[in-house]
Amino acid sequence: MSTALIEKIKQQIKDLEVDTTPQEVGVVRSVGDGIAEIDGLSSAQMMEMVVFATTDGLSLQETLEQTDALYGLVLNLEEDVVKVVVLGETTRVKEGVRVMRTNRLLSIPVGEAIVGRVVDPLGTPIDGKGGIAMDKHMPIERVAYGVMERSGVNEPVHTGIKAIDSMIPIGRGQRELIIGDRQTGKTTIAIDTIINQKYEPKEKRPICIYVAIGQKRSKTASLMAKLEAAGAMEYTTIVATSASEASPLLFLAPFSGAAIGEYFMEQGRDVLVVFDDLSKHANAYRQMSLLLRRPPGREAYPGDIFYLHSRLLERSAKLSKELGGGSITALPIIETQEGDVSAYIPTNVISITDGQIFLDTDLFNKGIRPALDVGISVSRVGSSAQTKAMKKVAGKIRLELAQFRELEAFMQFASDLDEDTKKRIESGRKYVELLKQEQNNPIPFQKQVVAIYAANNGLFDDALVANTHKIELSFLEYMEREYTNVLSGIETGRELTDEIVEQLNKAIVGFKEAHAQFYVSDVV
Amino acid sequence: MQNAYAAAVIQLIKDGQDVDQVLRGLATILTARSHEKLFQSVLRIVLRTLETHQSNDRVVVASSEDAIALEQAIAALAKQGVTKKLPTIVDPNIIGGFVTETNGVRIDASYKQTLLTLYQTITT
Repeated sequence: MSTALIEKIKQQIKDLEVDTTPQEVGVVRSVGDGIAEIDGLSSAQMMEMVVFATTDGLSLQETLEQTDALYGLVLNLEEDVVKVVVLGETTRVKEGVRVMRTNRLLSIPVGEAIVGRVVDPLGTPIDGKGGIAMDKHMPIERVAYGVMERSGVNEPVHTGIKAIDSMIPIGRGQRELIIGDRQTGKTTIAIDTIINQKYEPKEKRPICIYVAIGQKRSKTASLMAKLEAAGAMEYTTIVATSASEASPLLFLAPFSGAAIGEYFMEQGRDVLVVFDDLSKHANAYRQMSLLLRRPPGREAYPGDIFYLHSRLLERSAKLSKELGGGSITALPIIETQEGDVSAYIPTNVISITDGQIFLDTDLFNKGIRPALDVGISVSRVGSSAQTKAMKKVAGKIRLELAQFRELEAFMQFASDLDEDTKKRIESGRKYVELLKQEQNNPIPFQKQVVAIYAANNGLFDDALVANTHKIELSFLEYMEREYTNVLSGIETGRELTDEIVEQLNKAIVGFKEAHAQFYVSDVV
Repeated sequence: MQNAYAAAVIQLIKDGQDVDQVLRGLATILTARSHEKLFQSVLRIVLRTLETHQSNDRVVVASSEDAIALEQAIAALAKQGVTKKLPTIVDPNIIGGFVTETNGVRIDASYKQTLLTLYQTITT
């Protein structure tokens, strides 16, 4: 044992004082379904942490063998009883167990070392990689920043998904909802966005936080493996609660994620938080509220279900320069049933967020993936959150797709249509093909700009619709090989200068000449 | 309603009123208000509450011969304004020192707690 350690222990023993501070104590009157009713604790505060003295009556050795202190959260202050949700194994709580106030509201320990780790909503690491050095405690519940403390959203978060970055751009500090039925690719969009941040320069790269609320452990484990394989865990923290955990922990998970995000935001850094998903969060809160005997409202949800999500999502912000200019971008996910976006929870969250990305099961089954319904997806921040380069090329694609959707109904009468309509339909089908993208394959924004510019300027003219994807891939390879300066110019300058435009036009012509095998028209 | 009656009775008893007198008063009021049927449930709540509060008040020491710990416990209680004698429980698990609990306030000056604090300080 080192001398330094011995000296440290000696000093700690010397400085040790017997603590005779009086602590307010209550007694568990009854416990069941994760809720403990406490007699006493008349001065307890709402959302205060309390600790159960489950080691009373045990020897010192037995106490040391018990791994963690058992905490509870005060959620109901009634006339003669305090109701506390147990944040852990309820089996450790018995009638007659003492409960002490901690005099602090629920908080999570946070530090730089939390990045790259998997933690539970109380900040305890669950990835088996040892303890985490913490810097400070961040309150889990907190009032959001006021209006004057914020600034406008004007910097993009690149998702790496062409359809989103071109037509539904997301900005740093925005809340963009991802909504759709089960198995439509909602989590994939969130994960691709996280992976795509590796293309951002390190000093501007957002810290990513993925909050898994009631997910299967196997799913969380496979997501973590995907992120590790893509090198994204370097800048990502996962807050995980599985489906088998108690509803209070599911309730706390997104707030813990927001608290971790605020720690980095207050240092002037950008953060991306994914809440997957808030439907399960609402269910957990409903379960907890019913057990606490709070009056049920519509669909048995408690009356403050809207406030639950609004106070969570309002914590996403773009701070003013005076406060460091950091931001939290939120990507909440909501699962609908049979495409019903007019249900209670979806409509609540739609009204809170700054836009939504709708994923449609029919489109998914038709092979259009990501299955974005561009017609009803929107970003209320819009082009303020786009680079100049993307703004220049994205306008035409939206118009083409809008016209294509109108003409889609006429496609079955293809032989009866005039030439112009047939050309528009074919052009629309090519744009649809262009916007298809493989899972976990985000594309850096400069390549997106190049691909869309080329599509707008005749790259796919005289080509079969079925060849669109092949042409796009070959063209991007061609650009990487022959026109690296163009890609890096767009990446650094973020706009399409005249010089870059000239080079792009030259590249399109050169590519078409060199790859004539792709160009056989199917328009009769 | 029975909770309100029970709370009033408990408050009167805690204020030092004679228990018999309070209970007779309760019976009179219940009859006057035609709430006789609540009498049993009110009594049940009062008894349970008083039992819980009574059983909470105590002094815990490691050994019945640890006079120093007992003296320290009495001094700590006196600082809180508690002068009445509390039941003493012997629990060797606290190793030494004392633990007092009264009126919903606990002072844990046991050696067990002190050693636990030291362990947590060293290991974190």
